[in-house]
Order: sequence, then C-alpha cells, then structure tokens
Amino acid sequence: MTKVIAIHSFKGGTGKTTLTANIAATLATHSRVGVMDLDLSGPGLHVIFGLKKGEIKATLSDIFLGEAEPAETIIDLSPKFDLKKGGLFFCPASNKIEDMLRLLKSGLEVSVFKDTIQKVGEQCKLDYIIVDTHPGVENDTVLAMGCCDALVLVSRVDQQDLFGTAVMVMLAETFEKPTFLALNMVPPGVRIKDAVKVGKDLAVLFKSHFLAAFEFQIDVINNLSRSVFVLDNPNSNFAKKVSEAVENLEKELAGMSAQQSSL
Amino acid sequence: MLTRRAGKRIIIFLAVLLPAVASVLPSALALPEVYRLAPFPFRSQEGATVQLILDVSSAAPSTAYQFVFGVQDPSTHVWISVPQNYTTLPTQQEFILIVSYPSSSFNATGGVNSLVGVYPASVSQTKPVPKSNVASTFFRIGLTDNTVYQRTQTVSIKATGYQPYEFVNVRITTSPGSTVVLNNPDFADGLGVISDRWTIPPNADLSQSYVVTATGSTTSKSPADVDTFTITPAQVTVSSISSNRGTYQRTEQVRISFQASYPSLAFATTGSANVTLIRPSSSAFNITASYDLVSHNFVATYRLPMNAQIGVWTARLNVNNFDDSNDNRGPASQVSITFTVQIATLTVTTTLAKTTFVINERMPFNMTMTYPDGTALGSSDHASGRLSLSGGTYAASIPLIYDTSTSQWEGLYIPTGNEPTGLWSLTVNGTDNSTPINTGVSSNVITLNKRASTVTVSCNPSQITVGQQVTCTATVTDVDVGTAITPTGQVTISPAFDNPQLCDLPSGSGSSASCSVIFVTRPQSQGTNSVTASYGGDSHEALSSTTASVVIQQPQTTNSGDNPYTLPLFYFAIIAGIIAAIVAGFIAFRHKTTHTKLKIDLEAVKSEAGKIENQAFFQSVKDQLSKDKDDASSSKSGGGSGP
Repeated sequence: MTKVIAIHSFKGGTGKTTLTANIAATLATHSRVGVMDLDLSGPGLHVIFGLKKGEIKATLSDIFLGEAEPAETIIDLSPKFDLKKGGLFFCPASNKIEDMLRLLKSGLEVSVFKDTIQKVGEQCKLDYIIVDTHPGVENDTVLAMGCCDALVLVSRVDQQDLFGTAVMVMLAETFEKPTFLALNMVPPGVRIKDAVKVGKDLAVLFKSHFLAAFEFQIDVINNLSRSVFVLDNPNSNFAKKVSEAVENLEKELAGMSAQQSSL
Repeated sequence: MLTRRAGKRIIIFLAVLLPAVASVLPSALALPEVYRLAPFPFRSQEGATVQLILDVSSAAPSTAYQFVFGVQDPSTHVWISVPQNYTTLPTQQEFILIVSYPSSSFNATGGVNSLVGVYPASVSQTKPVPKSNVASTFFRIGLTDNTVYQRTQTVSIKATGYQPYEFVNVRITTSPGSTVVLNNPDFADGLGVISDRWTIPPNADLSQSYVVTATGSTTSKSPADVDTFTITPAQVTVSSISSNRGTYQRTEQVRISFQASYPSLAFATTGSANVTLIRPSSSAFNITASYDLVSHNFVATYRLPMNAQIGVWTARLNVNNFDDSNDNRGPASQVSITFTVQIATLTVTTTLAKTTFVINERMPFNMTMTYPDGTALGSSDHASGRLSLSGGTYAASIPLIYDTSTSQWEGLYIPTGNEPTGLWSLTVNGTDNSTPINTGVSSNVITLNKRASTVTVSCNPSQITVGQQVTCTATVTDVDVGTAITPTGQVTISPAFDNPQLCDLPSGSGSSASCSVIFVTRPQSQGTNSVTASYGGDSHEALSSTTASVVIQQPQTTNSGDNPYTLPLFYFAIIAGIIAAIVAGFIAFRHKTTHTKLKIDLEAVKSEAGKIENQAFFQSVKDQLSKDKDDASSSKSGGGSGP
C-alpha cells in the first residue's frame, strides 16, 4: 500500500521544497516514489526537476478544478534521472496566476485529493507519495495533513519557525498523524551535535519524532534549484545526510506499520 | 394695295376722330352696371347686426344713384329700408353702399334679428334708372356662434327677444340619440337676452348632431329657437418634443417627453403616441409614449444597449401619431429633437485590503466594473491591471479574472522581490466587446515599503576576561509577511569594550544572514558591557538594531613579583580546576542558552492550534475524513456479517 508523506514548514524559506525533491529522489533510487506539488499558490518542484513548459500536460490544479483526470498529470521522471531500480513520478501544480485565483475561490475537496492519491498510487504502483505543501496553515496544508500517513515538518533553528512547527504538530495530532521534525539550514555558529540535541529535546517536547538536522550547505544554495542536488552529487555530505534521514524515516514508518498491523 | 403714304394718313385720321365720337355718344350706349349684394357675416347669433354690402361696378361717373333694400325675416315679414343714395365722382365707375340690418335704415322698428332661420335680402335701384331687384342674397341667424366645433371647444349660445328676466330653458340634445348634454334653465337679462356656454368634452359623440333649443316661459317664438351644430375630432397640438439630456452614454435611458394640448388649450392626459427613434445610420424604430402622472408629460423611454450606435440620434413624432384614445389626434406637422449617444464610460472600483505593502508581499485586489445603468462587466469582457512605479521606470501587468460567484474581477500581483520601494499606482482598465468598445479605468495609489528586519547579537565566548579575543556575531532576520528575502548589506557591531567594526552579510538563502567580527576587550572594560548591532538595511530590508550585554571579568592575577604569569605550583591545580569548570560551564551554558533561546510557550502553541482547528475548512476536512473512516469500518463490519 502506498504511504503518503507530506512535507511541510510553518515559515517560507526553510528549504522545504529542496528537501522534498532530495528526499524523494533518494527514496526513488530503491523505491517507486510519486511526488505531488500541492504548493498550489507557489509551486517550485517543477523547476528543481527541470521540467520545460511543454512537458506539463495537466496539473493538480486542473484536477481540483475538475478539468483533468489524475492519470493525465503524471510525468515519469525515472528515465531522466536514470532510476533503474526504483522510479520517480511527478504530479505538478499549475504556475498560472489565473488557476491559483480560481482555486482560491473554488476550494479544495478532500474526496478529490484522496481519489487522486489513490489513482496515482495504483497506476504507478507507488511505494511512497511525497506531498510538498505551501508554507503556513493554508487549505492545501490542512488537506495534505488530513490525507497523509505521516508529516515531516521542516524548521530552521529559529524561534518563530519552531513555534509554528509546534502548532503544526498539535494540529497533526488532531488528525492522529505521526510527525517527524527536520531541522534545516542549521547556522554555521551552531554545532550540528547541539542542533541534533536541541531537535531531539524539541521532538520529546512536541511529542514528535526527530528525523535529522541538516547543516547550512552553501553548495546546495549555490545549486540555485537547477537540479536535484543529491542525484548530481551522490557523494556529498548533504547526500549522505539525506540518505540517513530517509533510512531513518523508512525505519520509523515500517515500525509504525508493524505496530498498526499487530493491533 | 395701299401705298405707304395712304396707310399713314388713315392712322392719323382715326387718332383724331375716335375720341371725338366717344364724347358725343349717349350714356345709354355705355356698359350696364353690375350689382353684387353680400351679407357680413353670413351667419350670426340672435341679436347680431348684419351688414348688407352692395357693390356696384360699371357705374356711370358723376351720376346720382338711389337704392332700396329689403329683408325678409323667418316669420316672413319683409323689412324695407329707406332709400339709400350715392353719387359717383366724375371718374368713378364702382362704389359700395353698406346698410346695417336691423337698423334705423329699415322702417321704424328697424327689423328683427331675434328669430332663428334664413333671412333673404334684395336691393332695387330707384335712380337714375329704376330697376327692381338688381341683386339678392341671404344670411342666417342662429343660437350658436358656429355650426361646426372641434371637441373641447366651447359652444356659445345666445337668444334674444324674450321678456326681461323671463325664465328660459336652454338645452342641447343629441340627434338622433336624444341625449341631453346641456339643460340649463336660467333667467334672461333685463333686455330679454339669454346666454349660455357648453364646453364639448374630448370624447363627445361624433356620430350625432347637436340640437340647441331655447324655450321661454312666456314668449312663444315663431319659428321657435332651435339650432343645430356638429362636432369633429379635436386637432391636438404638440408644439415640440424634448429629450431630458442632450448627450447619453450607452446603457443610459433616453427619455423623450412632450405635452399635447387640445383646441381649448387644456392638456391631454390620456392616450399614447409612437415616437420614432432614428439611429445615425438612418435605421429607425418606434417607442411608445404614455402619460406620466409625475411630470404631467407624455414620456417615452428607451434603454440604450451596450452596442448602441454612436452619434446623433433623432426622436420624431410624426403627423397625427398621437391619439388621446378618443381619436383626437396630432400634431398637425411633425416635431423632432436630436440627441447624441456616446460610448459608455465604465465605473471601475478597485478594492484593496490595504494600500501599504512591503517588498515581496502579494497584493490581492478585486474590482467591480459597471456600465452607467449598473450592469456589471462580466466574464466575456476584458480587464487588465497594471502596477507601475511613480515615474514609470518599473511596471508590471497583472492578469485579472472574473469570478461569477461574487460577480467581481480579481487580481493578484505576485512580486518578484525586485520591486523598488516608493509610491506605485495600480491602474485597472476594463473594456467590453462592443464596437466601438466601452471602456473604464481606475487608479489606486499603493505604497511599497522595505521589509521589516530584526537583528540579534551574541558574543563568544560568553565568559570573557580582559584582554581576551571575543567573536561577536550579528544575525539579521527578515521577519515580514510573505516570502522572506535573505538580508544583505552590512552590520555595525559596536561593543563598549572595543572600537565599532563593520561586517558584511554573506549572500545566501532563507530569511536570515549572519556575520561576525573579532574584538579584543580593553583593559578597563571589566564588568557589564553593552554590544550594539546596527543593521544598515539593503534594497529590500529596513534597518534594525539591538543591544545585548556581556560580562567581562578581571583575569586572575598573582601578587608576587612583576611577572603575573609566574604562579606557584600549588595554584596550577586551582587554575586547571577553574579552566575545566569554565569549559564545562561553557558547554552547559551554550546548551542551556540554546534551549533558553528556543523556549517554546506550549500554552501559546495550544491557543494558536485551537484557533486554526476552529476554522471552517479545517473542520470540514476533519469531518470528511472521520466520515470516510466510519464508512470504511462499517463496510468492513458489514462485509463480515453478510450472508
């Protein structure tokens, strides 16, 4: 059964979308992974995946507007990234302002999104669907939170970010969804060991799971969202960190599944 | 053949002879007189004097003429005048002789004019040559001042020959309908004259004749006072029509009005008229005018369509196109007015949630665009938005879409982050599909400010001694709404224990940027020292500053000798212990500091989460998922208990 992981942050500029692309790509080296850009009012994944205008036939926005079927939105990125063992499939969002405004008015239907997840998962035989969402607490965020199996919350080591992240954990609890805390862009002045410690303490405080702490990586920044960093730089420190985080996430999710099965 | 000389002689002869012959011819050989007798007026009311006019032509000059007039009244009594004389002048061949009837010219009583009927009249010449009955005529005397009236006119009735103050009944009845339309018994005046009036209603029956009778209580006339008149439709007068405006915009209502008046000068209040509207292309159509009780005018209105022809239009009321619904019609000649139709200027109203934004903040706005009649510009029309910096050095187009649910146009400007601060104008244009287009524009002023930033400063190590190197790090964070921009520029770090220094913020991503400066504490700076970090801002971020404090301690010194670093051996253990304690303390402090700095107020978190949970969309998602879960479990249990 396809596991749905939503990746979210309370504030913008946390590196959420970059992390989403890299986590998805890492998972896709050995699993079949779908990526949905549910950041409907500020999509960016299509840029990182290097998609050109003509390659996008339909979008998630079209599905919500009742103008496309889920199957029409799927773009198979596996050949492009030479993913022989796993697979990467992408459902983009529309970057047209008109569509964004229309969606603001038409609203988002839970049933439509659930149906989309199910159809895309079944059609591509996916192990995971990673959902990138809009920062803050918007309708698409709530939708993703409600429909996912787990929620990864990306935060900087920052008072505002962490406060908002705590709010998100609490909201996720309402939906009985497990959460994973990822600290990103840890400033050079803070030792990663301390950041991990802080992250773990906060995870306990927030009743969440600590996933990873990613240092501020100038190489990733310099990549300027032109490609998926871990695929271009598989031996980099960042790629190793992402790999560890993915391993950790898979393990935790597997454990949770086993726990649920035993119940 | 006559010779030329002989012809000339004949002409001279005739010229001399003919005048001489004419002067000696007798008057009997002259042309006979021509007599014409005419009354004025031909018809009059009882009591009126009639002038009998005798016109004699071909009369003999310098001749004394004499005539006698005779008039027979309706009772057959003949009234003869005294002889009337007239002598022509030496060159006069035509003259007129006028005699009034009745008057002292006729017998002693002067004649009768108090009887209704025909009065034959004749004249006989008594001099120079007696000729009887040279001319005759007749005139009529009645009760009314006319024999034919238009509706709404007033019939004036007059009867004479009654006794002073005699009771006389005046009636008007229709014939053959015998409907009494006037029955007015009244007293004659001191001269035995009775007068009355009847104003004909606008709907008077035209198929009837109207018989007027005057019947005295004591006087019995022969013939009796009976007269007849007929009624025709009233000719309604419309002197002009008017338009309430000289110029209209499309979609506005054209209002054409006029007043219609009867011969009585009363205004018509019933009926309708077809007013013809003629477009600039000369094509025409009719609109109906009806009576407006408010303006007391006949009013025709026409709502100009969105694509109405532009130019000069004519409104025209053709001959007899007005009918008061009783078949009284008008006008007798057409009347018209012109007015000009222009394109509609749309009213564009732009609503912004606020007028002051910061760089990189989205600007949502909505608009209504309406025609002059209030009709909204809809989705099949066009609208465009444009945001431009004052001075026009920077401009961006904003797509607008029409939301049918709110009947509003909506726009969203998504900033690029490179917009300069200052005054901007948001211009919205609306146009429709008409030819030529109807258009409208609105303009709003927007102020774009820099984004708010905060700066924090911390120094390392946190336990400092005099003379020690200290690294102070300033972190600038973009804290404003919308997508954060990484602060750039410089920060001035000014510690109380050393000179201020600048540091450059590195380029990067995210909402924060940090830079550090190494200071050396001055010898006299032990105690609490302030450290101020002032961020100078950049093209996006506003400046900010903060002050922190650090404690600088006096280093441990010995009181033996000049060399402070030469310590007795037993102090080494103490110093080592202190250093170890400082290191352990630093680690603990740093850890504690991080935790202290990142202290989360769980109550505030709960409160914030609670607010969000109460939002409608959150609840709807929750309810939907819970329903789905229930449905799934019930279908499972249903499957298990199936047959």
